[in-house]
Amino acid sequence: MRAFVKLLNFEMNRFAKIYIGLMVLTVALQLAAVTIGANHWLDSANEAMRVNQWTLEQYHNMTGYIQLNSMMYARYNGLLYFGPIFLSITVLLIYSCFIWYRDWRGKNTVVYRLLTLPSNRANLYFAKLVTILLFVFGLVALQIILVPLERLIAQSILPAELYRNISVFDFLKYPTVLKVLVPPYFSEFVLYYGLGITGLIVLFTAILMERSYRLKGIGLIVLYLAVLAGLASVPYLMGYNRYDSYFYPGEIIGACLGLIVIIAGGSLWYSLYLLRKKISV
Amino acid sequence: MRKYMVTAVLLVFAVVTIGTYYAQASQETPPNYKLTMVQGDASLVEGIAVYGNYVSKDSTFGIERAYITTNGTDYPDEKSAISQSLNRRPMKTQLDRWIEEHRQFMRGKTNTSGFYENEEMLAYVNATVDTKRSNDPSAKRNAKLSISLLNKQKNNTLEITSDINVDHDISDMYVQNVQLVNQQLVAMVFLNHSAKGYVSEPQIIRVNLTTKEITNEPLTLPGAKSVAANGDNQFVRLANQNLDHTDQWILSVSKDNHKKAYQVDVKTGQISPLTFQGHEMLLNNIMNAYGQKIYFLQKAVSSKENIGFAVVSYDLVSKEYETTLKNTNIDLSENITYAFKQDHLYIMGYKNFKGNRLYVFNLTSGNLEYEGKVVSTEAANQAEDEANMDLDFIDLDQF
Amino acid sequence: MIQVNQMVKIYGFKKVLNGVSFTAAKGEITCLIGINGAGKSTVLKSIMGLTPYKGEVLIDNALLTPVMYEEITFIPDSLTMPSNMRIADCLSFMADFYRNWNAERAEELLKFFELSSKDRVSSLSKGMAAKLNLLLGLALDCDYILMDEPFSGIDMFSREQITNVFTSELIEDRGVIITTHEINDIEHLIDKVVLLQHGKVEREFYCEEVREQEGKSITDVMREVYKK
Repeated sequence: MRAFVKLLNFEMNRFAKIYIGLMVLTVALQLAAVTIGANHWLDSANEAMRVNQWTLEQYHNMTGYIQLNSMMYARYNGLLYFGPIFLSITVLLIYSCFIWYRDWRGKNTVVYRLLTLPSNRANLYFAKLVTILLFVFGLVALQIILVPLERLIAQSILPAELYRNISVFDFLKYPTVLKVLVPPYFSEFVLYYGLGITGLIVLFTAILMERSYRLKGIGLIVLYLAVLAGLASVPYLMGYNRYDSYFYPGEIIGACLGLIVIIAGGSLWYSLYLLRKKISV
Repeated sequence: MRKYMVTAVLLVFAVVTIGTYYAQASQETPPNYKLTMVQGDASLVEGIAVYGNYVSKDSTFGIERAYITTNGTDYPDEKSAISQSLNRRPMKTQLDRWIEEHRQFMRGKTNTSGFYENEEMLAYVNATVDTKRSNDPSAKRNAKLSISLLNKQKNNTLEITSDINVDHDISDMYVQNVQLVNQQLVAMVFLNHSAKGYVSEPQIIRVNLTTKEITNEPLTLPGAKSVAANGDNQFVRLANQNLDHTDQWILSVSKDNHKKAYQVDVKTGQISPLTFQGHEMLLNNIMNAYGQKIYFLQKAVSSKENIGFAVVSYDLVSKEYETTLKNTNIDLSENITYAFKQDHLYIMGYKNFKGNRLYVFNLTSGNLEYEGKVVSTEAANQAEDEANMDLDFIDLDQF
Repeated sequence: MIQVNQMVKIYGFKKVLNGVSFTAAKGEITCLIGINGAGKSTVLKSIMGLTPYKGEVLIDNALLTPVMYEEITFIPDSLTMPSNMRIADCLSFMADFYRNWNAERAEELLKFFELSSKDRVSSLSKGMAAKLNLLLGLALDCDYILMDEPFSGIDMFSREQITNVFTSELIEDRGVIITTHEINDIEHLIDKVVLLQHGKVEREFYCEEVREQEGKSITDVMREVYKK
């Protein structure tokens, strides 16, 4: 356990600078998006009131309240608001591969050191896995606390007659990428991120296959993905999308959860086996 | 310890923020409503649900589907995808009860209308059309009939399957009702022609349980169509209720916005048009058959304010008409929703524009036997919560 | 003692090692010699479990487990620390993970090799990098040290500094396996030679015996073997 914590800390620090950069970028761009959006709405409201000779109340009666989600639809604000989210997703996806390859391919062969540390190699695996997860959850948490901040900004720019606060919960529930990243219910959070973690485990397994068998490993990866596709098709074969399926929903869901456990567990076991016995520097 | 700062800070930040968020989110549930009796017989609303929309004024996205029973409210969108697919409806349905009793037999059987049940057996008739389509429009299409029979005493199952040929333009077949006559399962099936226009064509399928012989007989309804040409439009509705044993089927056919009604004898397949002489206007009303009676629901008794409703009954045997119910108190001008269950009418509407109420009338006696109201269990916001609930459907577990 | 029994390693279609067996005892410096591509580095990596192989490696009669990485350490020919670290960070990393890290000795070696703990790994020259690598291995209180080409591409002065290490008490009681293709500098330091050719051990001998009994230097034996 102590070795795991040390390795986790080691892995975290290796990417901390870029990660903090991503966080700062997200905060800056999202707050800018809301500021620009709120001002844009204020201008257009003023303009409408001037042209039509409306009072604030008349304007509000005609157009309804402006809310936080309105900000994203002002000009290119969607790009400004969601851009850093997609950038972060991309960077973390790339780093999920790079977190292994940098040990081999970097200027220095750090993998020599990591694989010969006097601790179980599983610690290394879990340190890398948890590093990626902590980075992901850190950004998710950042997004959650950004919303109240963004609300404050919008509130300070727009007059109370025009603007109505919505709850963080309602805002994140709005069907955008945010609804997937911060699903409205905890059970869905567990389900989505459970699937995400399974995906990450599968990716790590593929990387370790390549690192163990090199060119031959690529053939193995194709085979492995074919097996996964076969397993993933079981719910379809059970007729999960058919109204009159022979199997009951509970059985199909049970099979799906079982499959996730089999895929995640099997891949995890195989990864650790590769790391222990087959990995090649 | 300083060197663990980044990790520790990120870990605490993520866990606390996400944890707090979901702890708070779980508090943010819409109000809990209960179907509460104002007067009458509570047993009439056991195992039923009323559906509606909760519309919160504070939130842009606060329109939420709500299923309300006497026990409380289910918000299907508030549940995860998994629990949604496990409990589609808020109450235990007939299908649920059968699944509990006959789990193996009930596999893949989801059409409530396809069942026939008596003390000895549970039968299921299903029809599926082959999705393969040939290029030759005169060719017939293959369809599969499958009949499953469960002997309740012996707990053994009999399966009969048969291929039948149907017209090339048939896209689907739906079993509407199943009856048992002299060891023969008799099923009313609608074949939908949808390659050109849309014509729903009723047929009777008979399954001899002794010889296992299957016959299908098209019904030639006078004035109705059995093939579809371009622009044709014919909808058929079976006015009989699901799962009730009957010896007469009542069909309501609406062709090019013109309505006709037929009585079909289950035993012989004999068809007699129902013209309702002198009462032809009834054809435009909502029709429901139970026992030897057909009930017509007429909205707006008082034309002046569009208020109230009446139920007229027609006796198939005595051929007599009777106004069994006339109500001028309940405004049905908007958000009317109703459902028949045997000789009871469940109806919902505003009363004096305040609060959603459910009424149950006995159609034989014409009496109001139940009045209930959807009440928020939170005393503090009761009035506001109730104003935010908009009911629109009564689920009597018939489909 | 490190025992290598029937080690076989295949890369693609090429059998790099085809049944290599030898021993390396504590207190001795064993030199693996072979021309380029003879599989010297592969033997060291296999001993350390850094590449899969067929055969058996016993360290003090036991198979390698993670705990043994405190008993046996590997000094490869490239740096094993991330390049953005400072040397001080490297030392604290080692202290963090190895219970047998000898901080005092690390300080001494730092002075001896004239390395500054403030330097970043990325800024080190080839010679300094080799010294840091050596430092990280030698400051561990372990029984066995495997060194892969410690002299490759290193200037004369650094080479002298490193050779001095071999005669010091830093090495004295330990078992060392070293690979090299430049035998001249260390010929006088090594106790035992294992000559690899065509994936096999061509000869395994103690230098002193060959010198005394056959009157030959290691280079002479090498010439005999590789000119055949």
